[in-house]
Amino acid sequence: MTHTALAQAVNERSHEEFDALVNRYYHQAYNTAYRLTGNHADAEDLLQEAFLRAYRFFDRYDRSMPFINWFNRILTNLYIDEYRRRGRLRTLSLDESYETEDGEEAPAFDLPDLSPSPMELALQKELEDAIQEGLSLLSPEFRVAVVLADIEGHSYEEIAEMMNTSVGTVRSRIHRGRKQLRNLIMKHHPNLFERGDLK
Amino acid sequence: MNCRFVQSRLSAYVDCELTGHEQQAIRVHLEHCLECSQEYETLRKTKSLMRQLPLVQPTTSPEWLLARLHQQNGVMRRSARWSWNQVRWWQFAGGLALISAFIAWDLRSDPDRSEIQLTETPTAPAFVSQPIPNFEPAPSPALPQVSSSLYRSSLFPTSSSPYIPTNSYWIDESNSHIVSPLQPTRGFYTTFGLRPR
Ligand SMILES: [Zn+2]
Repeated sequence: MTHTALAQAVNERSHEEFDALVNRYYHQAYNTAYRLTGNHADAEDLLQEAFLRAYRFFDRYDRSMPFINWFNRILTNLYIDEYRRRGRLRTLSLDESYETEDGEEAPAFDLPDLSPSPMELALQKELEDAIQEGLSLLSPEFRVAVVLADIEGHSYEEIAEMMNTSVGTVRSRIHRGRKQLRNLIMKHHPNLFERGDLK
Repeated sequence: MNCRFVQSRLSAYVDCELTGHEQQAIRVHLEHCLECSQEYETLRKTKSLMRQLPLVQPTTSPEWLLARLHQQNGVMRRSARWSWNQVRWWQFAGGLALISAFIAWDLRSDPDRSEIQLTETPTAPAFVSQPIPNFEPAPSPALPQVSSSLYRSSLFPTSSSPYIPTNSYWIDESNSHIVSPLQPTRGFYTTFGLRPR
């Protein structure tokens, strides 16, 4: 086998491996991208760019690390860079419906008008909006740390590796991010807090 | 162990990210301190709310992404920023095409100018390749100079435009495949390795 033929065969194999990994982790990665950006259009752009980089640097991927950890490192760094470059990404449409002129928040749902069955759906929607809105108000580093910990379930050590920082910094980011999120939810959606743990 | 120290570690406590000794010490503190235990409870609930979020349903499929990816990586080799800017670029190009079309239409509806065009540029390919000095109409108050550059635009679509890709062009030439986002491609390598006639 010549050198180029060998390289080609290896290349073909790693293409197949890469495709399989994309198929396997696509949904999870999409979820992370969406929670970071807050909308589908930016999530798709971010995801596409992150997978493009993963593809280009796939020969540097150390197989001893779970692929999703390696990928999330690319994704979150890209997200933070892009956030800094562009300021916020697309502003969330739900932002507009929230602050009225006198500073009172306008609830997205008129809860008393809903019958019990749509109530749960409305709460689910409110939860979704409340958290997405809260996340959008965090600094990108805090948001990334909170999303990776609470939504993706990564350990502090894994997050430190992904964000290229110390465990102490991660602990501080998660703590401060989570406190900010708590204050926002308690202020704008106290009923979610009273509801507590349904699941 | 004072309240300040405990409260600075409550998130890590919720996440079980402290050493065994610290977890134990904080647990004991929370049993006796109302303020800290309330703080703990709100942080625990915040995490719990986050964990109740459902997985977002993607609007695109992995096949779609792979098709885009290989297309960009193998063929485009452009700046990494490309994908972020493409929407705006195409919006801009679309706008430009519309403006060109409008001005060209305006030109044809003008008796003087349409005569110039009909006598000097009878076919669309000639229109496209026409040297600019022969084609450029005299500036008039109705059409300010700004718009004159738009006459040159090859974005202006004509029915016999040579730029409309044919099937053979699409498949065989220069690897400039367009993969529709609406048609996710399966088996990317084999599909694109083949050259259907
Ligand atoms: Zn205390």
